Amino acid sequence: MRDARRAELRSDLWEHLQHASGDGHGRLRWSLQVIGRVVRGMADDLWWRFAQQAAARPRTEATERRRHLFAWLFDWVVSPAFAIGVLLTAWASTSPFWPAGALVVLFVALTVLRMKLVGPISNESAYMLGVAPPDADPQRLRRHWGGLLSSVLLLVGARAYAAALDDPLRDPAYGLVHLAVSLASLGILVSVLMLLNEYVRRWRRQRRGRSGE
Amino acid sequence: MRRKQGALVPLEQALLAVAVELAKAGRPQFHGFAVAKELMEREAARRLTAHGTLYKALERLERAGLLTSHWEDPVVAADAGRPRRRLYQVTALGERALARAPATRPGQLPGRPGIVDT
Repeated sequence: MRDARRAELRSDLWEHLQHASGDGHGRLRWSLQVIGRVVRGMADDLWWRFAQQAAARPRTEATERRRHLFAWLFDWVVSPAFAIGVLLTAWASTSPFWPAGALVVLFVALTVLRMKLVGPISNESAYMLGVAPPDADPQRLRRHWGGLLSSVLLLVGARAYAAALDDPLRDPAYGLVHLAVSLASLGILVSVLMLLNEYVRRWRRQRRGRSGE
Repeated sequence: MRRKQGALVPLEQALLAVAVELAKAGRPQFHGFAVAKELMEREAARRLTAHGTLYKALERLERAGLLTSHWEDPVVAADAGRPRRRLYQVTALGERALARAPATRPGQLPGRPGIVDT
């Protein structure tokens, strides 16, 4: 299959070169176009290869169980932990670029490992960090708005409760209120980032559409 | 979120639309670069579809039985002095899948909302 793909790409490059020469475009322009096509298609190509590898792997009950466990751990533990870690590092650290950048690089490396072992991935944290496929999901926007609304409600509720306390610092519930405020703030931050990400993606799609008119 | 079983993503729909129109124009067989070029011209895009994206979509369509493919005769390719082409052709199932796909405005190509074919 890999040989077939290579042969197909060889043919594509040859046709592309002929087309560019016929149009009077120089070799430099052709090279730039080819590099652009390779780079833009890299994620899809990797996705495809990993999916092929995952599909071709022999499947027994035990390997399937391990596969599901690994996928579950990655999707629901590792990747949210990384997403929150990146946000917290960027938020709290005095020099956020390097630790947050290192976490993102590590997350991408783990994602590649996850894709190699299990196949393509799609979860909210991965969407946010830009390593999940960009297929449109109409429900996603609603979920992000729901997350934002519930975080805001939690924040408002916790603040209102704290305001009602006579001496918050001595009240045993103050620790819980503080935790709720922190969680709600983090929830708002995450939801806003996800919403921004989603709206930017939609805006780009629309802009690409309009630029073609 | 995985896509719905059997649903066509916009690029697949656009590829099928091009394949069907090429067939109607008397060119039932096409190779990857030809369809990428056709897509770019018809959608007035500035860039050709990326290799990975294009061939992955073609492979998905073929696996779903909406396209078939074969490698052209090496003698023909050698005579033309070029690498062998992998030639694709839309199947009857592909034509039906395109007909069933969500309707687009007259003149508008699938996959690029708001783009009008001129």
